[in-house]
Amino acid sequence: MNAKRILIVLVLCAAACLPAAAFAAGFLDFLDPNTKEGKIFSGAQSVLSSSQQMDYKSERAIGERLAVEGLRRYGMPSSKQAMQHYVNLVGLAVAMNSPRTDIPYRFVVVDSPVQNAFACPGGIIFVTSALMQTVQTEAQLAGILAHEVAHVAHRHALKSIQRAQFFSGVGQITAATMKGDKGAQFESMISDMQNVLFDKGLDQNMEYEADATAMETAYRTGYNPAGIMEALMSLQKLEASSPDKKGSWFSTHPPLASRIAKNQAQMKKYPDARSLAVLADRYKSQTR
Amino acid sequence: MKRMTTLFASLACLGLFALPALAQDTLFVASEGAKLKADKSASADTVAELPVGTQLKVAGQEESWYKVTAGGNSGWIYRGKVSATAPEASRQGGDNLFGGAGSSTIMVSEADSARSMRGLNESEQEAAKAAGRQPRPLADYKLALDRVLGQKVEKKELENFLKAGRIGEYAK
Repeated sequence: MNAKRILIVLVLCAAACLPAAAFAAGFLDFLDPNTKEGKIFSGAQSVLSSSQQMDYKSERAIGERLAVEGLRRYGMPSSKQAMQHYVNLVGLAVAMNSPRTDIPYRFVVVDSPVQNAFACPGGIIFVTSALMQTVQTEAQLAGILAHEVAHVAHRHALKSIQRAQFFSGVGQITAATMKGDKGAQFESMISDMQNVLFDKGLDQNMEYEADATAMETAYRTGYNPAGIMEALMSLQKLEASSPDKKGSWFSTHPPLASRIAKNQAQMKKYPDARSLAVLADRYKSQTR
Repeated sequence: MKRMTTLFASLACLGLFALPALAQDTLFVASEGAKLKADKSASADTVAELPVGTQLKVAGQEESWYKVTAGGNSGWIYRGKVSATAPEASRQGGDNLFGGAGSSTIMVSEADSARSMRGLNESEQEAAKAAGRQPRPLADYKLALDRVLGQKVEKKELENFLKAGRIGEYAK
């Protein structure tokens, strides 16, 4: 009796899977990467569900498109080359101990009066010149960059959009070409993602997860993991007096008090935190 | 029957307590640029460079270093380079951390098409207005992005940077 029941369940499962598999095969055939436009986003594939991972080329293409939007929105890269290089050194130092070590991250300071940092899928990470002035130590910068690296490592921005698409019943994103419906769909996805990254902010739990990962990554690298928390405290002081919250860390991240409390609780994991690198002087000399 | 249940429950409890001990016996390399050192110091000779995911048999721990065996080699590894669980294998990763990011795939020729040209101009006008600046041609942004992606950091330079800051394994 039991064996019969198991057999029935197995047959039903197989029957349910068949149309999905057939649909996926047909759908992939439909893409033509050999067109001129196809090459622009070569490798851009369909996103069938949140469980299927996008390939890196597509992720990077989306990230670069968003990076252009970031530059337009916040400002052009700072002309201080020594500072740009320093931020890349700190960023790579934490990235090599992050949960995702096999992609070429790049870090860029953009001239902007807005306090913010954000990560584009694929590993292009922005920090504004205003936030660079708020930050006081290398460990604090490492904490912020590790937080952004964590968003890339956990593919948070992509997951937000995939989930949105999944629930709206669309279920697929195609970007083989920039023309026609597919191009429009790609632009629509970029627009959704811009909204998430620059206005609405990521899901609160993603922010908490990125904080937790950032502290762990900073600690593993050898920086005092309290860095991110100290930076958040400085931002909290500024929050009350900040005239323009639009597009800033305040509007795109969860309430600072709750994040600081969670980070404080996590500090118990690191009894030797105070003995780790902070480097206030090096930060000052390199960011002048 | 009751005796059997008790036996299973006891075994399950034993299993729970045994797990952390097992986790400490085996560790995995979880960071880029992990080195197996002849002694528990960053300045000691490098026995081997260990790729991410390498399984390590732990023989002991002193200060911030684990004494381990990996693929027939014995030595010391800094605690920040390992994790208790195997890192998630990247199914579709990029090149590597120190690989060149190249130039952007955004092409200025994207602006060839009348549709995208109009779209970009409209959105650039809006973005410029919102930011209180003059609109710029798309080529400016592509150039700026390519400069960002063109920045390179060599492995050795990063190592020297960590050394100079006495960070992690270079703390002493």
